[in-house]
Amino acid sequence: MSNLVVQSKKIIAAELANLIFTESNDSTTKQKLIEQLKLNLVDEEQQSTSWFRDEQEQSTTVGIWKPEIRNGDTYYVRDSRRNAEWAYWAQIHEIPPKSSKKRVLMLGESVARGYLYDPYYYPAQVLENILEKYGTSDYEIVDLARTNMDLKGLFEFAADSVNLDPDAMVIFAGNNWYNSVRRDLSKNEVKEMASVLEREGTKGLEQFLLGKFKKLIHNLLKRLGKIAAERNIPVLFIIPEFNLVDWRSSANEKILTSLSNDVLRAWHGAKASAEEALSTGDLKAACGYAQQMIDADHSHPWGYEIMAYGKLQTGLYDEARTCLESARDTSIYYRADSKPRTHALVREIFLEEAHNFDIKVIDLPTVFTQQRGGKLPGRDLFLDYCHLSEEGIQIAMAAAAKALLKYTVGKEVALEDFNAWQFKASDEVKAVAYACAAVHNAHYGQTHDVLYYLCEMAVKCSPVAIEIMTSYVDFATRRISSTLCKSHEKLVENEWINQYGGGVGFLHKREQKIMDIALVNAMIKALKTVNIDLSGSVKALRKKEHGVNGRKVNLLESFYNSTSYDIYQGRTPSFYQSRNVESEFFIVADEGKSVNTKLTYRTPQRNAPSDKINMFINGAFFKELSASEQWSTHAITIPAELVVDEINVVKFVWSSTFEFADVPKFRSKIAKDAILDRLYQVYGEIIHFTASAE
Amino acid sequence: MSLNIIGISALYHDSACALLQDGMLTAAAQEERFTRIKHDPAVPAKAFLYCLEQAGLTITDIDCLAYYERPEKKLARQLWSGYGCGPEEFDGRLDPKRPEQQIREVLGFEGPIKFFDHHQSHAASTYYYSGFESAAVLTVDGVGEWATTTYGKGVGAKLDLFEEVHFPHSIGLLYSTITNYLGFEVNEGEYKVMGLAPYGKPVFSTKLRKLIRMEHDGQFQLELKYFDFLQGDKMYSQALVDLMGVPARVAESKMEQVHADMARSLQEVLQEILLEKARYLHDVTGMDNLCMAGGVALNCVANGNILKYGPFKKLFVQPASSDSGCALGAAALAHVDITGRRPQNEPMQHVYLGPSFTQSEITTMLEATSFNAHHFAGDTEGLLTEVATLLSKGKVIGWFQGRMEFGPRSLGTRSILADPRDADMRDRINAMVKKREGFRPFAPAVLAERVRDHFDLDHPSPFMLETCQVKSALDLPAITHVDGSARVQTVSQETNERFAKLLQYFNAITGCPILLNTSFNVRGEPIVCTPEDALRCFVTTDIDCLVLGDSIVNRSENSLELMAWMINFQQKSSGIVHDVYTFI
Ligand SMILES: [Fe+2]
Repeated sequence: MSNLVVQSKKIIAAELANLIFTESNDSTTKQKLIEQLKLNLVDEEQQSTSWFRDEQEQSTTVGIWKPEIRNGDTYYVRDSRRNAEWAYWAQIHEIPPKSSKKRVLMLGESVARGYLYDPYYYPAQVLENILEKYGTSDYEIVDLARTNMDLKGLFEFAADSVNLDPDAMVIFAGNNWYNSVRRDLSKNEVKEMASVLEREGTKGLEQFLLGKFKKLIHNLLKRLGKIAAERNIPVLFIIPEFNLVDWRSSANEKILTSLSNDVLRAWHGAKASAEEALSTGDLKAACGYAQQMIDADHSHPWGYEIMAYGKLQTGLYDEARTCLESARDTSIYYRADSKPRTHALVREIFLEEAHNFDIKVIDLPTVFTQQRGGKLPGRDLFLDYCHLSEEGIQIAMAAAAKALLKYTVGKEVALEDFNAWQFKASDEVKAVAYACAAVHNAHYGQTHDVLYYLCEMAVKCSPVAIEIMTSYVDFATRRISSTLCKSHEKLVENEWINQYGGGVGFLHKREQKIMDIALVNAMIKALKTVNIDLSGSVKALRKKEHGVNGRKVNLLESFYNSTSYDIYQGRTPSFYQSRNVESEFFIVADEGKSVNTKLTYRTPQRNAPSDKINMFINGAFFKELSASEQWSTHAITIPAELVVDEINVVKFVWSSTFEFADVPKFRSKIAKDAILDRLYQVYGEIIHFTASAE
Repeated sequence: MSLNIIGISALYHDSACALLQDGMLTAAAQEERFTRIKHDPAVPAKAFLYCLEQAGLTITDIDCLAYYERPEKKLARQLWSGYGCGPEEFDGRLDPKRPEQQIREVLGFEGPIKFFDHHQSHAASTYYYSGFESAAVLTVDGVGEWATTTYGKGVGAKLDLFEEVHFPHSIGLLYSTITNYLGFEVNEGEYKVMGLAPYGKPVFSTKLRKLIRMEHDGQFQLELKYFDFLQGDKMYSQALVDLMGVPARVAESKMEQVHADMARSLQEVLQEILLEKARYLHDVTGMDNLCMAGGVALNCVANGNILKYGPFKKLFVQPASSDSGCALGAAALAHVDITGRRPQNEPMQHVYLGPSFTQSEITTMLEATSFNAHHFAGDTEGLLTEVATLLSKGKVIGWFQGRMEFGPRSLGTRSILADPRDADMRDRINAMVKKREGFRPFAPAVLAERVRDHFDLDHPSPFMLETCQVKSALDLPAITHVDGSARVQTVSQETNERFAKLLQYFNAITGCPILLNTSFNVRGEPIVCTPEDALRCFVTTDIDCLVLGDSIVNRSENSLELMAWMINFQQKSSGIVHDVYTFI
């Protein structure tokens, strides 16, 4: 390039940069300059979901197992190059060549692994035991279930698994699938979603996502059908069930949808009335208000859950199921990083269409309902949202055995005749499963009632639960990462929690550690039933680690405002944001000692100066603050008489009148997190909140 | 009424935040230290909150935020070069509104934002912290907006850059290109190349001189046919391979003599260029003092060369002379803008501008762990005696004290320390923590008052930015380069009392007032920030002892395998790999 060319090109570049910087609408000039600069600004090829190709190249491996020929026989041996993945699969080093037994492959996700019992007790083992005792010929179950297997993984793996020359396949999956929908959105699809959302609101968004979901499930069905046809083997699919009665939406899953002020007010009014009605036992009224909540916002789980409560209390189980499934399925709106669960669509498609592909279906919701005489499944059959309890596993595997016998040898056996209850986990394994389930439930927002149940069950099963809980309350209460705590190290060292994440299920992400108040309190209470009282030592430790006495505590740290790990997945700034109208903070203090706080907050998007922020201390109204578009700093002393011993709860209610300015329309830049931010607006922001006491 | 100014460098590489209170630098930190993502380029949210917390301020106390670049100007250069300008990029990296948008949305800052030129920020980051009443200023880096090299002059509060060399002609990019050719990561491996140089002979100098054409005044031009960075896949072109006649080194492969020769030649050519341009700058300004900044100013051997053979009497290089230091410069420029006065008159004394932790926090943390520790609270003498004894017995110490350093070097508050007289020490430390190319020696920290006894250095070098010849009667193999030089940090009571005392105690036992000092981190991770980071680093390496404030943990008294396994299990992959200088 000559200097002259270089110089003139620089001038053009500067001109174009200026137009972009000033967000000029002059697209003709922009285009002209782009051409002069010879910039290649053609839209790059938009990749869409391309992973459902029919002609997927079949691999010779099966998951982590690769073929190894010995004396002419093919063994499948764990590939050491993939040892990082081993923990997700069954602890089987090699799969021998097929014997004279009928080979049944068990595919699936964590629910099929027997999450929280595995590796000591798991569905494939129960199924094999049942068949051994009640089958007419010999069966071997090859356990190919993998934790975290998603729809794409299953699609690919199902094809590879036939390398093991099966006589039948059992697939127990579906809980991880709705996440696959979200994960594979192309950039164009994200743009389309944004425009659907602008045009048609959340209903349109739901339709869009379900449309995509449907396509993905159909693709899987086709592939499974192809395997069934080509191999001429029965392929059984177990439709999962959800812990309808006992798994509730977490606080994070209940953040509010951006709605018009009127609708927002209507929703809130109905919610307050519904809660009032519930407290007075007026279930009918509560259901009426719950319906108003649903009418105002069909995408929010709360109305469905209140309604379901009313229906359950009055024995209307089918209606309660509909409500609870609707509540469950609101996770498609992705308010929080929700735990896996099936979706009504999975069941619907498999029940209606699987037979077209010659896929046999075991409908767990029906099996469980029949087992429970029409009642809905809860904590008796589940350890958490989707993972089964020992009894749940026994029933599900009896149903699988029944279907296998029917489709492989044409034998009909009644479910009860299998006496599946006899295939048990040991008391220690159950104790660990319950204790770890308590932790898992707590970390995803479940409340005292179910946490205490799980802790109590754990303690009843075996003293090993005492060891776990005694250690747990210690490291949970400390500020340092759990990994570094002596009490955590002890658990891992003694292999007491191998059932949870291979021994490291209690670890947490950086800067997301929580105080686990509800869980720790539930553990303390459960330990009291065996005459162990840790309340005094935990209180002392909480004060030492988190107390505001003599130091300044930053209440914006996760310990003091977060109660679960399923945090918001949209954009997160450096400061605290509440996408709910209420926020809670914990202050660990001494009774009768005033606490000095410093607070810098703002309340974006307000219309009315009359709108106020109400501050509560331990449930009692304390102070009113003004709404403020800009950061506003206040020194606030919580008087001694309001301070209770140990944990104090400071609550902000960010709006009293719900008069918000319109949410701005999307700008040109759309990303997944921008859609979330648009769906869930911010009610209050805090950039500084510290507490200390003399 | 106090004036609080935040300076920020971000969204390219090693983002950082600094706080200037009434012209005094009171806090500064790089974002990577908090996020644990090496070279984290994100808008420095955590460093920002740290600066506020350190000063006891909230966001409403900040009067102005200064940003280290002009996005519009930078965009023009990016458009001109054309590389990577896809439509996606305009919504992301190339979006000229992004810095402001991120400052508003991520930091939540509502006040005025001032934008300054990248090289203006570099220049300010050195001149205003030099303590010189007037000085010539030379900035040299890869690229900012257009400028890659600038010549300037500071007098009092006034700082004027009077000449620029424009992209793509860049000494920084020349250096990075050869760094890349030698199989090192761009923006990371440059100082390794400098360390490799003494092992080679300058046999490639003639060839390398072909890569750059010196022109009138401060100008020069790269011979662009040897470079490929405008296209983007790699830094160098086939023409360079042909010219060198030696294939490019594959990363992590064996280091051959020819690579050292190339590094040496590059060092020689760089020194020639800088010396020539420094002479020009002196001719134009007639000043005695020189201030330098920019990534290339991290090359302390070249800096030393300028001072030794050039016309300037005094040289100041701000220790964080690469882009993270621009946070300091931008803040200073805003201060001058607002007050008309220069920020601080004193030269920068130290870089202990990061967070510190109380002994009570450290003790509470250790109590939670299974570590057997020895506590010396209230007994500094006992602590230092013990640490000095351990060092004298050949132990490698993780040393964590007080406020964290700002900038790329550990200067005695987040350091790994060892006896420099031990011939095996270099290999031991490389094996136990650094897991790196083992050719380079480590740097020495020496008691300021004893520096002349051991090194050919007649003035303090508190920031480890100067190299000089070792002239000690002691044999110091672990810190002495093959050419007999060392990169020295002088330690004084005034700025780091505890470290200075440790050197005294070590001297009392051994007669050696010098310690090997290297950064406290494991390869691929940022230098440790918190006591917990230090503990993790200690557990996952083979450091013999950890000194956290007043507490000592000995590896031999603890069994750490299980914890090491858990930490490694949990360790997220981090870091941003640069195979090419992503100057977009
Ligand atoms: Fe720079």
